[in-house]
Amino acid sequence: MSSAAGLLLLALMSAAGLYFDGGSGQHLAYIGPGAGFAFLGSFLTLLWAFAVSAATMLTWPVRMAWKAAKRRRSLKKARVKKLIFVGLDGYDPRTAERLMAEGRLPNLSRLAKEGSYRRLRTTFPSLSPVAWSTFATGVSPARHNIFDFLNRNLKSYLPELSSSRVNKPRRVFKIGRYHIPLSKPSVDLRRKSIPFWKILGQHEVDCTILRIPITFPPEKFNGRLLSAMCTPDLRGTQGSFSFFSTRNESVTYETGSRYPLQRSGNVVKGVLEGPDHPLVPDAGKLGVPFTIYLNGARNSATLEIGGEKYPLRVGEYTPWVPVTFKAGVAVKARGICRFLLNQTEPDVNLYVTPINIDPENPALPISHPSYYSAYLAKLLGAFATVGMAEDTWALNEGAIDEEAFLRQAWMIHEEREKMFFNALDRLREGVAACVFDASDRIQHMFYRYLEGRADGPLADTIEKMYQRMDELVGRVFRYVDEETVLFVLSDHGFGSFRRGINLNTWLLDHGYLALKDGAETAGPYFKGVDWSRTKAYTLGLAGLYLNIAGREAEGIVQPGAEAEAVKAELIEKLSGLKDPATGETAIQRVYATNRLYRGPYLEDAPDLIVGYNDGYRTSWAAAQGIVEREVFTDNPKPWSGDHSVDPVLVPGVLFSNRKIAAEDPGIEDLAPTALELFGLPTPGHMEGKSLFQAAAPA
Amino acid sequence: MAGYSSPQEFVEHVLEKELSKIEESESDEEILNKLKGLGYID
Amino acid sequence: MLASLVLFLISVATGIGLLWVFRRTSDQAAIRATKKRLQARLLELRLYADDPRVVLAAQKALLVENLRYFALMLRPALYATVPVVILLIALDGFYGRRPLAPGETAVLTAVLDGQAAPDEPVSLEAPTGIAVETPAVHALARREVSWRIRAEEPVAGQLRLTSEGETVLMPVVAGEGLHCCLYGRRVRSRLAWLLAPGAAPLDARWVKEIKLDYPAAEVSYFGLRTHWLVWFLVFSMAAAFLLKGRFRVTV
Repeated sequence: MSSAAGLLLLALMSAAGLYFDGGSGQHLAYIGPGAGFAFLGSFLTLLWAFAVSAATMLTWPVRMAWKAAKRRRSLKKARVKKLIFVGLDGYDPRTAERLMAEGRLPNLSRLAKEGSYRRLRTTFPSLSPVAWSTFATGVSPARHNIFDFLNRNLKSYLPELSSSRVNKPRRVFKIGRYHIPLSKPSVDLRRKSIPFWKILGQHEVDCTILRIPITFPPEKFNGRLLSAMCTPDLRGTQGSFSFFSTRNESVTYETGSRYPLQRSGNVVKGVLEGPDHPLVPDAGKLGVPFTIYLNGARNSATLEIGGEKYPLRVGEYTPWVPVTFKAGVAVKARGICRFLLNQTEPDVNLYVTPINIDPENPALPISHPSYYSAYLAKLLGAFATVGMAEDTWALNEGAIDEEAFLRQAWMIHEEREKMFFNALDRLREGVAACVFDASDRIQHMFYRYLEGRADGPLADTIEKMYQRMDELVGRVFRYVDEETVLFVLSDHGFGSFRRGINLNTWLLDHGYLALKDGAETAGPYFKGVDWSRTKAYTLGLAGLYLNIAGREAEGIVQPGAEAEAVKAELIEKLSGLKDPATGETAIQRVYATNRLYRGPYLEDAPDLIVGYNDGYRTSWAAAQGIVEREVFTDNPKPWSGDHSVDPVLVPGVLFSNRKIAAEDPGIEDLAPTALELFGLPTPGHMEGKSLFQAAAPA
Repeated sequence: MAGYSSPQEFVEHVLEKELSKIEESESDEEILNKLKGLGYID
Repeated sequence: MLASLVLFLISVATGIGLLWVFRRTSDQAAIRATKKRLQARLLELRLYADDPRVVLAAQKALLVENLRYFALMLRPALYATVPVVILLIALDGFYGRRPLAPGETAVLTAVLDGQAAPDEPVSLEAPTGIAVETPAVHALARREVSWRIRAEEPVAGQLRLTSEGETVLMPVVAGEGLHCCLYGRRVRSRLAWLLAPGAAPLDARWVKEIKLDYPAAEVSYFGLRTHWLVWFLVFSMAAAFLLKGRFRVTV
């Protein structure tokens, strides 16, 4: 053996955990596979790292020259090096202004004083998916195609998620009861137009986009992105919790599911239900069994799931627990969830969060590049991936209490903060943007405290949340220098939701909607509606739709003059509609969408957008296409704040460290502003304009 | 072309509209399952 | 064939045993976390390839995490070393060397004690079937006396070395195939015996060590012949790798 080969062998054997003994040199001692892997793994890791780094360093001048050449063409007019967006979903200007006046938001006050503060016009309707899509694209809903959380299917009148669609594999090989997919399920993003970060990426501006709504599935672009709102959970829902109990009770939840626990002494067993069996259509759902070992009266227990044990304490969430649903030898779906032991006596109650897609091994794409979510999870720890991760429904339905909800919301918020600061730490030139949702979810669930309808130890929760967000902004200041522009913004504000309005019932009462067989009510999603005699209906949160002939499957209203006439009638009758129980104006104004915006997707928009007054919103039932007996109903749920009202009532906030010229900025102006800051012109299709350009004289 | 961000988007939109005419609808159960958990909707 | 099968089974059992030791003695949570951070830093090199500052920082972090990983491996490796070394010595006695084939020669060497005269006569008697081909050859500087012996027929006996009236025995084996406990070395020092134990320690005053250089053995699998330790390494690591998930061990 040559000396070189000998050295190589020695290196490899050393790497594999072998060493020569200290005696005669005859024996080779071998520590074992563990050390072998350790040495080999580390050796290869370092070798790989060295190779990648060497390649990076060697090719860096060439790549930089290439990028510089590309950038020089377009970015010579760039005015900044860094652009930072802090999105605070639902951060309301009225509350913020009050707290600033009281000196309780020092960092935002500083921004307002040294830079700018404006109320930010939101979109019609004032909903997060709509508004953040406009933020991203700089266009109105008629150009990005997101009008609500829901669309209606024109053939079936059934609702569909407006933002994305998960399609089953197109080709399936059937053997007996097994259906083996020959292709991956595809996911379509229904948001149209082009986000500003994609344009910046084309010009070599580095962007990290975190949790901006309506980014699932993630679009490919020259940058990094983590998806947000409307990312499903592992069950394919928008987030459905599980509640386990030893109490044999027939409780059904709207969103979560209740499951039994079998108790035998101090041992409690249950099965966590996962996604449908992917290979056998009728096999039901996959499950992972778990066991809880109770530890007497100490309010604690041990959870065993997937062969791992986790301590449980009453009232405390576990860390993210990985769960693997196996459908065969190599078919697995990996998720993560948290467990919360609610009580151990007399009954054992256990709440489990929705099973989030595991960011380390995502079952569906949730980031770009695909391994970005794995990078974040491995470096910073597992994190919630489902679109609306804060489990508002678990609180609505009593599966958890307010304190548990708050803890969950803040845990998720901390995960987002870690990701955001990870991105800021690495940002030298380019854009970092992150949307924080806790501000929205907490206001939804605690608004009744803010307006004095409820009292208790958590009465100041919303104000504390505003202050905590202010502290977050303070920490972002560390990353802001003279060549950095910082925007802190919200997509909309907030109002009260005390009373629900069922416009389907109102339409029935006023002859615009008809039911079959003389029925007085109709079930979810228009079960029992006679479409051959229906002119208008409502579904989702903001819109009224006409039943247009040639558009809807059973449309009867002729497009053109008749449709315009029906719209005019509805606008006239609904604008200023009073609540007979309170005497308050329930609907401020109704807007015809073809007067609000123009674009190629206008035909998919609701025909009318209803501007509810503060305190009112479409009722829970109307959003589902139900026709009830009463038009007006009380909203008894903890979900007591909302923003699905007249957008004029709920503008967002806009803070910047720079003086902005626009006096009446809109959320559509942020994308053109981002482009302009990096020296790029506003594309012709964008409707917003840079905030740093003075408004043209009227 | 007005309002589209690119000619490609225009072409995709035309194709999508045509495809939607022959697209099969999902079952009611599948649709409702997908919407579960959307906070704003009951 | 049987010897190869036994080595395979022992290797697999060792892999499993060491997984158990790892599970019981290592900080699995810390190892998992460290490995994840290592993987994250590798991904970071790809994600931020255009930023040399981030790449350098990731490299530094990789080094630190590697050191941490080694440190976490130290404890289970220490626990594993003692039983594995004992096992390896036992296995080496069987698989490390083979008996002299009939007609084959080997050198027998006695290392004399420092107090003894370097040219003190040492006599050698061989059992039937072993021929002593040369007279004793003294290497005075190294204080060694050597003979060349030759196997004439299969035998398992004792070589008798005598000096200063004391006789010590050195086992000798000739024949085909492998042989159990084929130790080519006897030593007097207890410390040396601990480092390389073989047959029982010597108790004569005049000699420190006796060595018989049996030919090295090789073990064959899949038509490939090589040192048994290489196969042991391959099989034990493969078993550990394949079964670590089942044993829920992260290494």
